[in-house]
Amino acid sequence: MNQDSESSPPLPPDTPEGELTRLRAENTILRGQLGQSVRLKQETLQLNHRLEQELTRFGVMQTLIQKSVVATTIEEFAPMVCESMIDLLECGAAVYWCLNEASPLEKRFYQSGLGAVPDSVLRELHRWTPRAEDSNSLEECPAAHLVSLSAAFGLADRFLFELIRDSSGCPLAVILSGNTPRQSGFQPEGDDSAVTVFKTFAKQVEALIISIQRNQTIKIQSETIRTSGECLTAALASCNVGLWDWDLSSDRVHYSDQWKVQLGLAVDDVGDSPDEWTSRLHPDEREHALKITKLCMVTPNGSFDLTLRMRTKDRRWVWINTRGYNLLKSDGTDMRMIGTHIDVTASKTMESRLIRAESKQRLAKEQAERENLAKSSFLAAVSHEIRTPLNGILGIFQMLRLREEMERDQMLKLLEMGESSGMWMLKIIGESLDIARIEAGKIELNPEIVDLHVLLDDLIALNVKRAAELRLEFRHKIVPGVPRWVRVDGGRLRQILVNLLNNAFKFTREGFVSLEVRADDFRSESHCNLHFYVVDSGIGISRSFSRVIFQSFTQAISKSQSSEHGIGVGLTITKELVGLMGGEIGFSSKLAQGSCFKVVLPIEDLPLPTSTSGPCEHPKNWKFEGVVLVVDDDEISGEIAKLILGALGLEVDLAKNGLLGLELATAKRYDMVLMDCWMPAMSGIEATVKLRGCATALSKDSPVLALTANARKSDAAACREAGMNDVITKPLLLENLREMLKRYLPGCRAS
Amino acid sequence: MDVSPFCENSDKHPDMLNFSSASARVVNSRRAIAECLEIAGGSHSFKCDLLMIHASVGHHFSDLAAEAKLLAPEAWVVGASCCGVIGREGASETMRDIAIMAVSGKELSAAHVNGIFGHNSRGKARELALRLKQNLPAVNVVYFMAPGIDIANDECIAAIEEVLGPEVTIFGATSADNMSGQTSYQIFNGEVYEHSAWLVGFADPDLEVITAASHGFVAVGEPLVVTKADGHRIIELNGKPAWQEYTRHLGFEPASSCRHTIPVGALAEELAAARATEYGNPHILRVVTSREEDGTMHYATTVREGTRLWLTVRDESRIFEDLDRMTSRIVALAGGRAPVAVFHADCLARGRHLFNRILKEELVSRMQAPFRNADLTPPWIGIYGFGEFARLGGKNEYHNYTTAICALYQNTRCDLPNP
Repeated sequence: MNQDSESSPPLPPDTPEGELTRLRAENTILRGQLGQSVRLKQETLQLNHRLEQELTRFGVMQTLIQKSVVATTIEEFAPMVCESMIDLLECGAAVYWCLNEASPLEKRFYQSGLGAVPDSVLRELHRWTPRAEDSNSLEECPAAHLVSLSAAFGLADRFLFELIRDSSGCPLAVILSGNTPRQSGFQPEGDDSAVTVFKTFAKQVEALIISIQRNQTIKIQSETIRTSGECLTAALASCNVGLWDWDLSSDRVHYSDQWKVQLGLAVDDVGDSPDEWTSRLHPDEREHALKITKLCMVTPNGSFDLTLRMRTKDRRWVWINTRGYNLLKSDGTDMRMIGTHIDVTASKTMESRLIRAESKQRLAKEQAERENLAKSSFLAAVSHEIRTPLNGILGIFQMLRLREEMERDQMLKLLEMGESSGMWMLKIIGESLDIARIEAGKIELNPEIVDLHVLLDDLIALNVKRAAELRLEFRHKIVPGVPRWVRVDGGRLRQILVNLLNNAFKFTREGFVSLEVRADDFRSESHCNLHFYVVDSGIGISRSFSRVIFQSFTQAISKSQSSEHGIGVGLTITKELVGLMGGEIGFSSKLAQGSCFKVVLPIEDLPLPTSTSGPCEHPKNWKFEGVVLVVDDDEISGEIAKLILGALGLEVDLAKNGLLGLELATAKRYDMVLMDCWMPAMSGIEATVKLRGCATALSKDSPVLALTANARKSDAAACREAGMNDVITKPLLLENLREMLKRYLPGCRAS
Repeated sequence: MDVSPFCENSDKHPDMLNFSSASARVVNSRRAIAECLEIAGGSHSFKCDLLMIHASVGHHFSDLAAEAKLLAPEAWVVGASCCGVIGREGASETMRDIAIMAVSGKELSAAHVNGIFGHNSRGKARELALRLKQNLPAVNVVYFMAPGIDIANDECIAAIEEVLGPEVTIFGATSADNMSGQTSYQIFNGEVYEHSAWLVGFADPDLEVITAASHGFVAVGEPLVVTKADGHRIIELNGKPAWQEYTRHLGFEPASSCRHTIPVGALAEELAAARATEYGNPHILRVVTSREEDGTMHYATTVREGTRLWLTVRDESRIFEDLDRMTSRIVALAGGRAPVAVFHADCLARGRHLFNRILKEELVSRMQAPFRNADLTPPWIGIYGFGEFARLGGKNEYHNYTTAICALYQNTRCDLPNP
């Protein structure tokens, strides 16, 4: 045994005991060497373990770095630091103590493994925390004081703390680590490597905080950029502005989503080649566009502004305004063009419409000017047309005054000429009024039962005479089947046919004029279409004039070239009247050969009346009996009426206004009252109302006929509503007057 | 919920125990528990009936115990401090490691006794066993956790066997610190203790248990003779103060601590020939976990005067060979079945202080590989403690410096005798 070899005296080596002693000694040496070897091996293991521990610590730091990537605030970062410190140093407690600018230490800290830190410790630690401008380090705190601080912290030993500063050296935080008494026994003695590790760790934390601060700055800036980007994107989207960015060095183009949307393309439909743009250009504009962009491409700071058509995904063409700007610098750097891309199809369409509207406006203006000119011509014509018969009438009266004793034949001729001139004037006035009514949309029809055959016979008789005077042939034919009794505005029908026949005679120097009337085969029980043909062998209608023949104030031959009367509204009125009757008018013509006008009118075909209670034939020499009151403020009109009525056998009283007329009609019984409508003191309407309402008036129930120049239907209705029996339109024509007298004076007789 | 494929046998009895495990390295002790429960059960609030925790001594054990009780209020919560843990994820020996085994089922129970030391180990262990038996009469396997310092483990085994019967398999470990020999902690139902023991019992008739241990050390030189002893305390070796003599032979100064001696100071006791054959080594190892000022050493078991103790050296090739032999034997006994769970106890001296990381990982990998099923390691909880409990030669035994495995298998009970 060991103790034996150590305590026994040495023995000679050549004896067995000596040999045993020697062997024991060698065994002792060998055991010592073995123990040494084991210890060395263990130390090697410990070193190895240290190395592994360092690697582990590296891993802990690495983990902290990775975790800190997601930490955006100190509140998130500080607990990570504490836990890493504990893991790294295998200590019992760790604190991350935030500092602020005003006070180096604030009572905000993050800890792991510790209980609450007493205020006294905070105050104590405060002493050793440098101000921002102070370069003193916490390490200068005396070791003995550290021990007392450790105890105050509730730590046993290895109280480590380090100041963390930002990149400008400003203190940010204090980190502390240490062992609680409970854990201190688990730590290996004399292991100073923790201090080095702690300092390294503190540096790492410092770097991470700076990184976090930078990240925060970057995040804020990124957020600002993102917000700005979103605003820009929203603004561009709301303005429908696309963008493109052409990297000339790589020949790649970035097209914004809005660029694609404007062409109806999906985001994935478009690559990054310039061809995406050029291939969609309209062929008519591609060459020009490429020329302009190439020029811009080689011009530093060059720009272009093009509006061109581009094809959309659904193969429509849209107008795009594209503007480009070359960022190429004079030194050849930044080879890039950027630009905008705006769909201007709507504004282009608007522009086209505007142009068309302007064109229409111009045409309308020209038309208005033409019409104005035509109206001026019309007024001139009216003036001429009125002055001409007026000249005749006045001339006749002057002749009558000069030749007091004129022969009867000569006087009758003059009177006939005067009547003709008056009728001419009446026609012109009538046409002028009709045109006015047409333009005002006020023209109206007065359908009545008409003997169509009588109407046509009168017309034929008139034109036979006229043709003879003009040495023309007048052909006429009423085809069997044309109904006799029809409901139609006879006056207007007559006006239509007269206008057509007048024109025919007007423009026919030789040959014929014809009128043919037929009813078509397609007739119902009560309706049929009447076809009127007015044909002549006159001068015909030119192609250019045929386009405006129904327009007002147009004549095929100017006044200066024509000896015929007229103001150029006849066919306008005719067409309007035909339309009003639900019919149609058309014509065909050949220059120098003649014209054919055709009118088709739907007519109500009435059964033959059982008694002919309609208009009766009146001999022109009918005489009447009775007393008539004529109320008219116009002295001439009153006197003419008095003369005509007197000539027809009637006794006449005159009153100059409605009031006087009412007084006379109240005081005296008249067989008839002819009442002008527009008069001073009291209108004819009012006077009639009062007369009808005055129970004591002697003429209360006498027929009252309106004698008015207002020929409108509404005027007539107003007269009837006031109590008048009928309306006689000025000028007072003998034939019309006779008809009215026959109707309202019972005692008429043929003389 | 149980995510372990080892707990999803379709033909298992509905009352059969379910096991799931997890391990992690987390500084925050409360979060460590929560994370492990999430890994093990898919949710930190999943229900279990037993939660076994092994945690490195750097953890805040009060937090661990409180959080475990909070998250598993209806479960038995048992735990121990250690130098490191081994889980399905491998081994780790930092100050903030944790491993858990969560067990669900009715046929289990746990008991606890406080104030257990070397001098009262027998009585306290008996009391502990009685408490368990009262809760779970039909217990057939127990996991025993005793404090690693100042404990007579052989007395504990004897006391448990007295109560539960020698046929009951005792597996387990002794709690430890980081090999500094200062103290060790035990957790039982939300409380933390330093000198307590707990016993978890399983009474699932569908479970079969196989345990084994191996160390791979070689005894060298002349033995040290115990010349004065008291229970588990060795007062003198070779007639000299034990600690001085021990460190002298190791080449350390007497002022050295157990931190220095444990890695290299394994003491070997002779084994009977029959047991030596199963063990693959003629010696069983013992550790000195602490010392007193007068040089008295705390031995792991009761030691008698005249006992010869050899110093040892580790033989890496033997360590690997013995490990392979041990796992092969377990696999053979299992008859091709995959275990439903493995409880593992390893000596802290076989951890980072004995092997470098590469060798240690290789060792753990070779240990777990035979138990894998479809490349998945079964629920696994391992502890780097001061000592290990595993059967040897058909008897329950306390070991040091070994790797001890307790593999649980589902029924089809094999007829092979339990070693």
